[in-house]
Formats: sequence, structure tokens, C-alpha cells
Amino acid sequence: MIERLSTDQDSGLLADEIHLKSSAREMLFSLLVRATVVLLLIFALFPFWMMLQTSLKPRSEIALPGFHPIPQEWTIKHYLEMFEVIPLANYYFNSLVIASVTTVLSLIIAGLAAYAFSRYDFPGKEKFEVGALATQMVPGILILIPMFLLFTILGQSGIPMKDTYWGMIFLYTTFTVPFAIWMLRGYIDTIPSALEEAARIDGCSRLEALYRIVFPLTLPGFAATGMFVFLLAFNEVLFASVMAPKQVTPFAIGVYEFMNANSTQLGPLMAASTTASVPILIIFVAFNRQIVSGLTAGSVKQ
Amino acid sequence: MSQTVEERTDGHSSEGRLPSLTKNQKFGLKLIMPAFTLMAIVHGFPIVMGFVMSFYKFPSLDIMDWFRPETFVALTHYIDIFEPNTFIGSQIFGSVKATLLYTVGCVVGVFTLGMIAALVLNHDFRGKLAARTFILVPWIIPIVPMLLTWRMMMAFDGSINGLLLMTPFYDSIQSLPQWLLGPKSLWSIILVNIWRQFPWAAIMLYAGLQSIPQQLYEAADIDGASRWGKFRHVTLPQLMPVSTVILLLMILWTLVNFTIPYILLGSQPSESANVLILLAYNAGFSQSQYGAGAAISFLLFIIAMIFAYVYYKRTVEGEYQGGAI
Repeated sequence: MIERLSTDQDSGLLADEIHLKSSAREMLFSLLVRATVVLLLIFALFPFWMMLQTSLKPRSEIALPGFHPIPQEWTIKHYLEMFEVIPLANYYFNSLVIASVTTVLSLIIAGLAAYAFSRYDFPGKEKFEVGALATQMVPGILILIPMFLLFTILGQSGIPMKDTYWGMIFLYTTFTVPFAIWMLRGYIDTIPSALEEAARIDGCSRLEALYRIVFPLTLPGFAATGMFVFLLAFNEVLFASVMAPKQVTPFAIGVYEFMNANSTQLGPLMAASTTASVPILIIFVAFNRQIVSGLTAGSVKQ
Repeated sequence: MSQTVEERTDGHSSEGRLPSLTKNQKFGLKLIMPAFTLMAIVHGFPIVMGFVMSFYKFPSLDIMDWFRPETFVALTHYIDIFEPNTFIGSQIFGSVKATLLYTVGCVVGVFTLGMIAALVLNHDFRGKLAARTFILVPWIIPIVPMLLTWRMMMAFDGSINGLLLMTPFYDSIQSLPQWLLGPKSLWSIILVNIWRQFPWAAIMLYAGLQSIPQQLYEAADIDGASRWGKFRHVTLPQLMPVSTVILLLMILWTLVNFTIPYILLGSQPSESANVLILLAYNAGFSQSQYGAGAAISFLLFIIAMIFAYVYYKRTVEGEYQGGAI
């Protein structure tokens, strides 16, 4: 813009005209940008708002057909009711146990592998990288049927895997490890290896250099990766629907019971959904920088 | 080949490599061992076993008693896929069509919306950081509660139809569409998939935009390029590598995504939205035809692997390093 104006400098009046015209166009354009941002935000947040406001209005208002984005009357009744309608507290507890243990295990196992990929060369490294990538492309359904049989066989030979915490944790840990390796590697790549070399000279073993130097420095990255692992484990439905139907039913499957009765209990359903979503949203807003940089790290070559 | 990979992955550690290479190699292998042992059990073994299973017919009384010569049916399950009077064969063509439309719709929608979002976020305005954070909400929020909310909104008397009734296109309740049943249900899963995935495409494209050298735009300015000209001749070509990765990953994710169609439409969707992954699930678990289910999952796996191979060629071997999510 500036270059353009300076070339038109000698014909004074013309330059002024262009300046006026183009600044009007600039304004129109920035208005268009802002309007688009607002529209995108409405689209992105609309379902969240509908969930939140439905959970906070009385049953009579929920039953009204049509579009009612703002409750006339506010109530927290559904948040108390939801635990009475179905054993929701159990489902939350099961989800929390499965997802938290999965997160810890997955971060440990993936952290070691990510460090190896970031710092060391070893035979077959490239093949392992491709292998980890390929697991992310396998349709879950292909794994599910053989896994179902394997778990059944193990169950018949005295090792219960179906409907147990460790069975689900074992599955979810493996599903999340490749993703966690990839994300953690991006963070570890940003830590200069000179620090570990100094530690090694000071007498640290390789493993000590790893957990004394690298892990503390990549803690924010671990937090962000951990959030994604937790989310993946919390939201999994394909395996949970088949492998955890009774004893350890997680929230993602159990919440259906609100809909199984003669009529869907929308109020408690939305209250339970809000309760499951809001903690994650808070964590995301708190860690949003690390999460965004972790997502794009390694994906755009600098 | 291995030389280039080494250079790329170890860019900053190459000048001061830790001593004793062979010990390091062993240590590296030890570190990845737990991860790859798990993957071999949970990914490697079932893929092989699934392939074997697809040649057997499972007895209905004791499904554990399947690995016998009498139950070996060779390619029957694969042939049955195209046999119109079997459970899968009667639905396969509708299902392939639904899957194609679903994938194309999602990919086009996600990419277009993601590009628009990335371009507007690349401009300066007040509250830009907040906008960037909140646009990501669909992608990070737990999906199950959100899908239940979409289900509520898409019900016949839900808020989407309520909104439509306010527009001049729909004047009576009878004319309103059913979103979760019948032909429109395909549009519903496409819309929800776009809502879920566009923030991811946006943030990847945004990172791509940020890495375009400013000099290119300055040069275009000197040449007197218009806004559209700059987008067409600078931005788009510069975003080609990241766009390829986004498109390929989108195709893969859409093909193997089970959660969105299953929660939104249930395990028995209408014909228009009976995507392959739901068909495989139904064959296996509601019809107890594990062999047939395995056969169709294996076909899906092969299709996904073809795309994965292209993706791999583009990223690991190409100039562009992609993510593994």
C-alpha cells in the first residue's frame, strides 16, 4: 500500500483520491474480517451454549418446540437430579479412573519413545516411525473384533479383561501412545541437547539426564499432551460399547441411559454433559498456548 | 535416504552428539521398546488375526470354536460382500456411496471453512488471541456430550428446525426436514463433522500462513498485485504442502471415524448415512457375523492404507514434515 502511494506522489490530487478510496475499501475489508470471525465463533460455540442453557432451564421450557436460546427462568435443579436418574456418579468415576491412569501410563511410555526418536539414532528408526504413524490409520473396527475374541479367550482362561479397569486402560494406553509420541517429540525437539550433554559430563547417566533435565523442561508439553490423551480416553465409545458394558461402564456409554427411558430426559442429560465438558474447557483456556503450539509443532517446517 | 531423515530429525543434536554411538543405539531401542511392544499386541496382532478371521465362518453357538478346518470358508466373505442377498451385500453399494459422499462433503467443508478461519485469524484485530482460542473449542471439547447436544438440536422439534421456521423458506411445521432420519441424516453427520474438524484445519493453515516469508508479499505489492492476486499467486501455492497433509488426514479420519455417525444416528442409521464403518460394526456385533465383519473392516483398512501411503510419501519422504495424529 505504501509503495503504491509513494509512486503516485507527483500527481497530488490523484494520490489523495486513491488514498480515500483505498482506505474506505480497507475499512470495509476489516469489517468483513470481523464479521466473519463473529460468524465463525457463533458456529463454533453455538452447541456449547445450547447445552449450557438447556441444562439451566426448567423442564417446561425445555419441552417447548422451536428456537429458545435464552431461558426465561434459571434453575440448577437438573444438576442435582442427574445423579438420581441413573448411576451417573459411578460412570464419572469409571471414566476418571480409566482416563487418568491411561494418561499417566501413556505419558511415561510415550515420553521415553519420543525422547529416543528426538535424540538417538538406532537401527530401524525410520521403520518404527512409520509403524507408529500407521497405527493411527487403522480403523478401530478392524482391531475391535479380534480384540474382543482375544479378551474372551483370556477371560475363559482365568484372566478377566472384558469389563475391567485394566483391560480398558491397556487398550486406551496403546491407542494413545503413538499420538503422544508424535506430540511430545515436537516439544522435546525444542530443548537444546547441550543441557543433557553438560549433565552427562557432570556424571548423570543417560536415564538421569532424561528425567532430571528433559522431562522437567518439557512439563508444559506433557501437560498439553496429557490433556489430549485424557480426552481421547474419555471420549472413546467404540471399544467401550463392546468391552465395558456392565461393571466399568464409562460416562461416554452410560450417559445414554438418559435417553433409553420412554422419553429423553434432556435436562439431566445436558447437565451431565455440561459437567463433563466444563473442566476440560477450563484446562484448555489455561494451557491454550502450549496446546496450540504443540498441535502445530513439527507440522510446519520452519 | 536415511541420511536425510537423520539430518531432519536430529538437526540440533548433530554437532554435539553424545559419546559412544553403539551404546546410544541400544539405549534408543530400549526407550522405544515399551511403546512398540504394546503396539505390536494391540495393533499388529489383531490386524493379522482379523485377516485370518475373515476367511472363517463363526459358529453361532460358541464363537470361540471358530478356528477349525470345517469353518474355513476361503474367500466366501469377500465374495458375499458383493452378493446382493446377504446382510452386507444388500447394503454395500448404498454404503459405499454414502461413505464417498460423506468423505467428500466433510473434506470440502472442513477445508473451506478452515481456510476462511485461518485467513481471517491472520489479520490483526482486537481480541484476536481470544478468537483463536475459542474457535478451537469444537475440536477440544469432549465429543460425546457435544454429539448428544447436536442430537437434541437436530430433533424434529429441536432448535435447528426452530431456527428454520423463522426463515421465509419454511412456513409450516409439516414442511420442516427430519435431520436424524431419512435422506437428510447424511447432511447431519457431514455438518457435525465439519463443526468438529474445521478448527484443526484452521490452526494448521494458520501456522502455515505464519511461516510464509513476508518478502513474497512485499514483492507482490511492488508488482501491484491485488488482494485476490496475492492470495491466488502467493498464499495458495505456499500453503500447498500443508494443505495436502490436511486433505489426506481428513480423508483418513473421516473414513475411520466411528463416534460421530454412531452417536448421532445410532447403530442402525437410514440408508443414506449407512457408512462403511457402521456397516462393519453392525455385521460384527448386531448380526454376530464376525467373519463378514472382519472382511469388510479389512477392506476399509486397505482403502485407508492407500491414503496413508500417499500421506507418508508426501510427508516423511517429501520436503514437508507432517504430524502423526
